[in-house]
Amino acid sequence: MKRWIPLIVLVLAAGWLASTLRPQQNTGEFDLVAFGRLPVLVNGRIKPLDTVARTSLLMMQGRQRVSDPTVAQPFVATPAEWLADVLFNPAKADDYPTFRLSATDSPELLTLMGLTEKETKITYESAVLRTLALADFVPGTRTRFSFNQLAPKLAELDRQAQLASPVDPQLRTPFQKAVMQLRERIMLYQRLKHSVQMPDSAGFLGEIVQFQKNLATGIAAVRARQKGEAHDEAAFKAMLAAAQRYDTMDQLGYLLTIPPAATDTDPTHWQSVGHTLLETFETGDINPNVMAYAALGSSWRERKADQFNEIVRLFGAQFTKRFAPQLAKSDIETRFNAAEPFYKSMQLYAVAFLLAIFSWLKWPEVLGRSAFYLTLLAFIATTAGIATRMWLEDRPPVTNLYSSALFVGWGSVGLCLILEKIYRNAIGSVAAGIIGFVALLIAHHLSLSGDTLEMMRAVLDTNLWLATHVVVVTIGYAATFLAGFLALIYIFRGVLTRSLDRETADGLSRMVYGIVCFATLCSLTGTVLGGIWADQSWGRFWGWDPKENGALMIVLWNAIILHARWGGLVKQRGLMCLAVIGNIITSWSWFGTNMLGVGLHSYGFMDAAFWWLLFFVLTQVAVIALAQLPLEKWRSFRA
Amino acid sequence: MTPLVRQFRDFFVSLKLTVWLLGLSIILIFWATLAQVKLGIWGVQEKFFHTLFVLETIPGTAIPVPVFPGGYLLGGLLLLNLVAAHIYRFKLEWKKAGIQLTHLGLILLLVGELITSLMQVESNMRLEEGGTMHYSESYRNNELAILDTTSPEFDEVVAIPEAVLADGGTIQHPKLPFQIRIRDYYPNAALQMRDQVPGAAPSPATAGIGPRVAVTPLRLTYKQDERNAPAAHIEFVGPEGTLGTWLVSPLLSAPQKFDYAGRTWELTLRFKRYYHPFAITLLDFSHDKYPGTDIPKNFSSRIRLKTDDGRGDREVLIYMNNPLRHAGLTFYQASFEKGDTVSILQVVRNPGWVLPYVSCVMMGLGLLVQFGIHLFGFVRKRSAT
Amino acid sequence: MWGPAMLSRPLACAVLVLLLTSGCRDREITAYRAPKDPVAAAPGPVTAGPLPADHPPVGNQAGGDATMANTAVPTGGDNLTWTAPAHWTAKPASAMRKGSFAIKDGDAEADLSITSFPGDTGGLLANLNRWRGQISLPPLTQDQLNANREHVDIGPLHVDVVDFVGTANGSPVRIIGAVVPLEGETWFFKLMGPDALVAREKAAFREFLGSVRPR
Repeated sequence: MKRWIPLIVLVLAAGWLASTLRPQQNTGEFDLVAFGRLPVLVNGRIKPLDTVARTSLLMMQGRQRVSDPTVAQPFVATPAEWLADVLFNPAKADDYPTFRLSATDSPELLTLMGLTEKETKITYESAVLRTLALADFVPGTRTRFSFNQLAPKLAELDRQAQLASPVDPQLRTPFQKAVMQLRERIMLYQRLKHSVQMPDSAGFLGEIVQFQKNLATGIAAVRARQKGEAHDEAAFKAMLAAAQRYDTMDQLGYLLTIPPAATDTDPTHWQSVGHTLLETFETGDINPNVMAYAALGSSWRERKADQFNEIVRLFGAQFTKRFAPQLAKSDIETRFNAAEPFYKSMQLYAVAFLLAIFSWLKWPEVLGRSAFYLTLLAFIATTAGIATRMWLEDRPPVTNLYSSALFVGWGSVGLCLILEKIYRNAIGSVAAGIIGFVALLIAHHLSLSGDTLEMMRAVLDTNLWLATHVVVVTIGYAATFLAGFLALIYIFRGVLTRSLDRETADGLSRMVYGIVCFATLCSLTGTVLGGIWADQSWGRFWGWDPKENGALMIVLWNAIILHARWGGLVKQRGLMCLAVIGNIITSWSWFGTNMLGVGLHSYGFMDAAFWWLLFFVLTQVAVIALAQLPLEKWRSFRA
Repeated sequence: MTPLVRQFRDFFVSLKLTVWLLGLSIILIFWATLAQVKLGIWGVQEKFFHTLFVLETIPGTAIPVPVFPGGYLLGGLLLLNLVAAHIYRFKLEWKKAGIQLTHLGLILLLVGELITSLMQVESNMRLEEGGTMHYSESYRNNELAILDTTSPEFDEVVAIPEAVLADGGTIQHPKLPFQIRIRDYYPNAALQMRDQVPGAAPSPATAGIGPRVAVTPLRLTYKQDERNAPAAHIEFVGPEGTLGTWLVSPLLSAPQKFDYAGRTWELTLRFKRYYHPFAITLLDFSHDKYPGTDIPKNFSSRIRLKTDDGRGDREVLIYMNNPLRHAGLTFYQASFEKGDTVSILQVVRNPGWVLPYVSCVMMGLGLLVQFGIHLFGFVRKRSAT
Repeated sequence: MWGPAMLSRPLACAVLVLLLTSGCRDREITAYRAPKDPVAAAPGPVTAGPLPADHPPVGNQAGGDATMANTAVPTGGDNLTWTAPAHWTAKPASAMRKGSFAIKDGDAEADLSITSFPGDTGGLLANLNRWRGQISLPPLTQDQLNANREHVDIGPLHVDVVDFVGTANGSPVRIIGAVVPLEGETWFFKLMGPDALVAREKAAFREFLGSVRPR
């Protein structure tokens, strides 16, 4: 029977993964799935509205769910439904709590926005929840607020933002940073609202139909006035007002929703609704796509599901012919969003980690094998996820900090699987579980800053170097981390348990040594390749840029480990301690250098991350201190 | 061999020294990375890497004290350590080939970096569309140029580096019929029209635009995208006495003119110029963005390169990751200005540029061979058990 | 082992020699013959033109001049008023200009343009450096800008005033300018012309600025 358990685990988990691939289902009568698949052009690429909805929510409030702790049901079933409300029924969306403001980030900002304890404090009806809130099991304060709650103080926010904006971003106080961030979030929301209609319009469809009707007389009036002739003042004023409204939409609108005219061969010539409406002054006819979005809006507001679904269907159909390749990508992207391969892998890694740890205590064969299978499945899922991203972008795997986190996790786990295949002692699975989980967790937090499939700036726009330098260096990071984590396992098992027998210890030592060799190879090659890239594009092989320095520090550290071992300067324990320091150095060059805010490479400034980095470094130092216990005090080595 | 010599040898060939040097290098690099926030990338290179020792002044005084080995010292010792160890332990052995190749590559890399840090000259060429340039300009160093513009064909230039101005004093040069006396010098200063600053101290300037301008000294900036704008008051003295005192600063637009000794002179404090024996004309600059964004997708400059000797005249397209190499110089697309009509090329002279490429190949091969041997041995051992 | 052997003499000497020779290079006074600089490209006539060559980018306005909407409709509200001195001649406002004046003195003519654009149009530094570029002055850094601008409060308005002298077509040209952020827009008052004339009109310009009020 026991023999079958790992296989059963494998089949169950595989089935669970496969279930995420089935098409999304609508929860209500509106076909929001098809709506979410409609393509728009934003930030330089054509993407589905579903992605726009998810990334916007992540950027504004750090999560995709729209809910309040005191309300049982989320306000909307899917991000796409939220986006439909923002685009078509902003009056309703203005009440959704979608702006994150937390006293832990900046209490002054709450004060500035006029949010007092009355708004932030949550009082639960049930006594149970109240007790739980005291113990911090359920949130005791509200951290997300609606546009309407913030609206009265927007002028104040603007003023503070104007004061803060000349300050160097690195020198801003937490309050100034929070002000700028909230303003950006509100700008994003406002720009979304102006994407397909004027948010203050009572009925945008009616408005533009009326506009179309008056267009001829209006233009006549404007022409007459320009010539200084007698003209219909009312018609002129109406034209002026309309033009001003559409100009505002064009200036603010975030999404380019109107595809290029059928005669235009360049698939990137998308336009905003506002711009297209301004063009009406020349053409005399309102673009049918603008009409379609307006009609979609009115059917959404009036809850006419049949009409809505029909427009989405017809509207979507016109894209299938003209934008087949783009649509194929945007469809896959929607499925990819819904399948959440990285989130699912994270769960699998966590389970695999626990199983592998327990395998050292009981049933090593059954649990160890199950853990291996789960790790393998998670690895396959991450591989599929990364491959999908590569296909969507037409890029090598690592293009920004987010994808580097994915790839570091992927690379480490891949090496772990090889180790596990060779040694079969669950060490590989434990390391894979923890590194895979943490790397994906880091990636999740990095994804909060926006769409993770971004366009590459000109200097980075070279698949050759992205595929060589960046990939090799990132694998170097992954290997150095893996060596460090294996060393952690050695120290923990040696000091705290009796399970580190001589054979395991020697095995671990060989693993660490092998991985350090591999890390040296990758980080040295990667760093030198980076130098050559720099020579190609900036004219210097080495510029002492923080990111370059970080990579060099990893190379040097790995070289130190190897030379110290070759020279007999360190034994097993020393090797492990050095490998743990490798963790510190790698985390510094991966994230710490980005926090300095100088240099050509800094592609992300993250404040909260600084404390996590510090925390991580301190834990590593603590482990090294722990390893300094005399060997006879280690539980495994006690006679 | 005397014991002392043996001690020396043992010290320089030891792996312990290698490990110590590598460790100190890591600390140096980390420290320098942190210091970059304050000092900027150039300041850090001078203070930490292109030096034997990192110097810090004793607080309250200007006395520099070495506090840490600098890049040259650590790099030099590493080089010595490497070379010595290889000479001492060298054995022609197939098993060691990988590691030896790697280290040889490393030696080459260190030597290459030394050459680069000593010989590399970087400058900028700022080209307007349709414009032609004979020279490139430094973006950190200034020079006081005194031009004899009497001839209609060419200018006779005497260029005095800013470092000489900073020393103050008097300069006499065979090409100049007057002495140059440096009255004062500020490494970074803002200029304002004097009528805007009611309380400004009287200006030492007596000629040119100087008397109308007030000079306010500023702190030096180390930011990578900012330049210091020095200012100085320069007095010219002929045998018959003073000719006047001029204010010079790169913030003044046009050179100031005066006549003396029957010739026309111009003086200007400008970015140091490097004249080249060829001319570059910008035919077209293009700058693509991703649709609907301001994210740059590509920059490229179509230029015409014409040598003075009339032998070369060709069109070249320079774009990101695709520089032009000509006459020992390399031209990179660096930046652009003014609504995409001005292209800025970075011009680098680095005689050692090819060394890193060679050493990269050597190290990559060496490591591959070395770890290949390891892996092969490991796999064989495992399959045997 | 760590004693005097730390420093290898020959190496240190070699490095020192290299350092010294390279150091000398930066301090050498050089003399050479150079081709004459081409005359700087003319930054356009100082007095004329309905469009200042430097106007900040405004959405689609630049590309879409042909559409009627753009010729007939001013963007942004007209929410400032001012009173000009009597000897300034008002010129007709255009699509870009909210107000326009000519100040003449014989042949010399200075031009005052009043423009407004939504947003902060790239920040004060960028805008002022664009002005400097027009009169062949190099751009300023933030610190240099801070030393160069004068901040005045006119009623409820916060105004930055600058004064630059440079050259255009070989003759001295001066710009006295004021930048006024108001309700999400930025207003630019730019007086540009021959140095002597603009210097004389400076007092009048300051008085004129004092008359600017929100509507």
